[in-house]
Parts: sequence; C-alpha cells; structure tokens
Amino acid sequence: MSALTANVALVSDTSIIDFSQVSIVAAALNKQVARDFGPLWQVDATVSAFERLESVPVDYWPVIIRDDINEPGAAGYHTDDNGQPFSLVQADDGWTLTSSHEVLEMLADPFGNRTIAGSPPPDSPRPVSDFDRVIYLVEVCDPPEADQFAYTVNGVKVSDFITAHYYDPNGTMGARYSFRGNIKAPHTVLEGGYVSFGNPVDNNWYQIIVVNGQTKVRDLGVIQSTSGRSLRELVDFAVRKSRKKEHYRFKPAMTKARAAAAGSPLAKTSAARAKTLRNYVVKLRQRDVA
Amino acid sequence: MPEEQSHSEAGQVERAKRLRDRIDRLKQAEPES
Repeated sequence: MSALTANVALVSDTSIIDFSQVSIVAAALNKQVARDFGPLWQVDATVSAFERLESVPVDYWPVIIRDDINEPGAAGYHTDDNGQPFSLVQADDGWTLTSSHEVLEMLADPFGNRTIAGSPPPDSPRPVSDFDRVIYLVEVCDPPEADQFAYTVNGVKVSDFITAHYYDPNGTMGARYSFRGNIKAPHTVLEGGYVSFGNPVDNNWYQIIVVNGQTKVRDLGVIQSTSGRSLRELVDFAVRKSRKKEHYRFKPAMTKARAAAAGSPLAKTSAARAKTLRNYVVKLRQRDVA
Repeated sequence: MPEEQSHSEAGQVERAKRLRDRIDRLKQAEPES
C-alpha cells in the first residue's frame, strides 16, 4: 500500500448532471475503491464530489463529466500540461459505469505507462499467436468492460475489474482473475471487452477484442515515440484512428431526467430514511426518547 | 489562514482554465484518416 493517498475528484462540467447526482455517484465510487478495489490492488485512495472544476484542490486528479466530448474522441484518459492524470466522461446513459472505469484505471496506473510482460492472450488469431512474449498495458477494466459484467454499489452501476493475477504466467486453481470472478484464466478477454499489448520485437501494438464470441485482432501499428504523452493516450489515439469510421465510443448525451434516474437509484429508500431520521430529531428535541 | 486559502483558490481557478483549454484542444484533435 502506498504511503501517499491518491485523491480523485468527480466533477460535472455539464448542466445535464447536477451536483446531487455527482455526490451520490462519488460516494458509490469511494465505497467501491475502499471496499472492493483498494484491498485487491493495494491502493489507498478517496473519491470526492465537487460542484465546479474551479473548486477541485490542485492535487486531486479530476474525472470530468461533459456533454460535448464524444467526437472526434476527447473522452477517456489524458494527462495535463504537468503530466498529471485527468479523465473525460461523456454524459450519456452509461456515465456512472464509465466514471467507475476511469477512476479504477487511473488508480491502478495513474500515469498511463505501466506495462507487464506475458504470453499473448490464449486462442489469439495470427500474427499474435506467433509471438513469444508481449507487453500488456495495465488497463484494469478493459477485459470485463461490457455492461453485462457490471455490478452495483449503493444501487449505482459500476465497472468490474481484473486483479493482479490476470498477469500471472499460468493459471492457478482458485486464483481470482477479476473481481466478480467471470474471468477464468490469465490474459483472457470477456465478451464485449478487450486487452491492449505491444510486440517488443518491433513495438507494433495490438488489441484482442471479443465480439459475438469471436476473438479478433485489431492492429494499431507501430508506436515510434511517446513524445511526452503516456502510452495509454497513444494507444487510445491509435484505436480512435483505426475506428474513425465507426464513430468509436459515440453515444448521444442523455436527457436531464434520465441522468437524474441514473445518478440517484436509491432515491426512495434514501428519502424514507431521511424522513425517519428527521422524525427522530424532532423526538430528540422534545426529549421524547432516551 | 486566509492568505493560504486565497492562494490555493487562485491556483484551482488557473488549473481549471488550463484543463478547459486542454479539453478544447483535445476536441479539435481529429485522428488522421
């Protein structure tokens, strides 16, 4: 566990998602990090809601929700002019899931350059199956990223994630490769997910993706030099380039009403508890209870 | 510590401005075809 606590700021920069929804989702993500993710990745971190970008303390890493970053592809992980991480999340139907994805990946590899060597993903098509060894980019939510593997915290939909055992050289009986247990062996990818890696022989990068049960290779080309940008940003840029015609990650911004529903899933139970607590406060003031 | 707080807020506002400028640049950075 690091001696330094990482602090993540969740902040909305769009009128579609208001501060009350951001607060509810930040509380859920904070619980996910403290209870589920932190112990498995040995990360000590907080996630807090802020009303405006101008209110975020300067050492917090911002995850910023906007309604205008769909295309050509500003959504996702970036580093600022000082090399510090920040992420952009489109205010669409899946904004809580995407926020969780960005927060966890930021905490596992804040500066976007962490790689781990290993054998190529099993059952990969050629040329990947011919490689002796590849370097995986540490992106902890990509292999189980599909909606069907998400779970809820405080009723808020959050992302599943891999564990460090995902990078083990061999499978081990009883090992946990993903938090929810759907990944059964190292380096494997679930339906709708992907994993990014490079061939150290020529630094050509690839993704293995699984679509409709089919394992496919996406060739991202050679990365010549990072030129001050993180590997993660460069890989993401290469993916956008290769998928330009598919309008990669394009989802329209959601309506305010739908955003409210996604951001406050347990409103009825929370309201009922608030009513109970207020009644109790009234009784306390009347010295009616012990 | 009003002075420190004021300094900190100025830093936050300036950082927010730089981040917004960066986001604008990212929005314009179209991948080459």
